[in-house]
Amino acid sequence: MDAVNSKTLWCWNAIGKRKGARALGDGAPETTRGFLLNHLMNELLPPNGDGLLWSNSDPVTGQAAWFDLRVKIERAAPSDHSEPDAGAQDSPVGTGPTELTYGKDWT
Amino acid sequence: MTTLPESTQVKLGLVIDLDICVGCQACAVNCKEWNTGGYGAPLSDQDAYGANPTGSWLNRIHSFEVQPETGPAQLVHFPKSCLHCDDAPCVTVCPTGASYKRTEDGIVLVNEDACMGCGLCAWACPYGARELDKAESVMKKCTLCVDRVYNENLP
Repeated sequence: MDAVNSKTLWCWNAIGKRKGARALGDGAPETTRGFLLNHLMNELLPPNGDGLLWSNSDPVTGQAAWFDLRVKIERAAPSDHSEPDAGAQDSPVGTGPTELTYGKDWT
Repeated sequence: MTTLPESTQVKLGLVIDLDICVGCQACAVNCKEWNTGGYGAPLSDQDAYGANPTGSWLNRIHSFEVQPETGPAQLVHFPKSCLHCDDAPCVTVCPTGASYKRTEDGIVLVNEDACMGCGLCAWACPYGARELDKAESVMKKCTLCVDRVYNENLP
C-alpha cells in the first residue's frame, strides 16, 4: 500500500483462530486469513511540535508493543493460508448457528 | 408516498471529526451492540461462523487510500451513518408511512410494524445508510440514539 512506509513492518493484528476453534465452521475467515503478530515500532510517535511526547499506542486498547521482546525477521514465501497452521481441532460444541439474532430474547 | 414535516423545531445530527478518526471501527461495534436489543428487530448476522459472514449494521466505516501527486499517501476513514437529512428521500419514497421524520427534532426513524421490507428507502438513500435486516426483512437505520439522547439518567 502506498500509505504504508516501505520500511514499516505492518501486520494484520488480531483475530486469527485455529481451525475448528470457537465453534467456527469450515473456511471461516478467522481461520484462513491473518494471525496474531506483534507490532515492531517505536513506543513514541515522532514530535509534532506541541512539546509533548505522545505514546504510539493503539487508540482503543492502549497497548503498544512488547518492548522487551527479541525477534528474528525472515521473509516468508507466499502462501494461500496463514501461519501457523496446526490443523483443525475438534469442537466440543459443534459449530455456531447459521444466523444470530442477539437481543431478540429480551426485546 | 410519505410526507415530510414542513419544518422541524430542532435539527439534531452527529458530528464526526475526520481528521481524528483512525478507522478503528469501535463506534460501529458499540452501535451494533446497543441497537441489537431493546427495541425492534435485532441487528442479525448471517453465516457468522462460516466462510462468508454478513450482517446488519447501523453505521459502517469506509476507508480509502489517497495518493496525492506530491506528498505522502494517506488513509481516510469515513464513518457513515444516517445524516437525518432535511429533505430525506428515504421518507418521501416510503409507500407505507413506516419511514418518517420527527417534527420535534428532525430524527428520521422507521416504524418497523408498518415496514413491509420493500427496500425502496435504501435505494433512495444517497449515502447507503440503511440496511434491510435479513432475519426479519425490516429496514434498519440509525436512530441517532433517540433512546439515549433523551434519557436524563445518563450523564
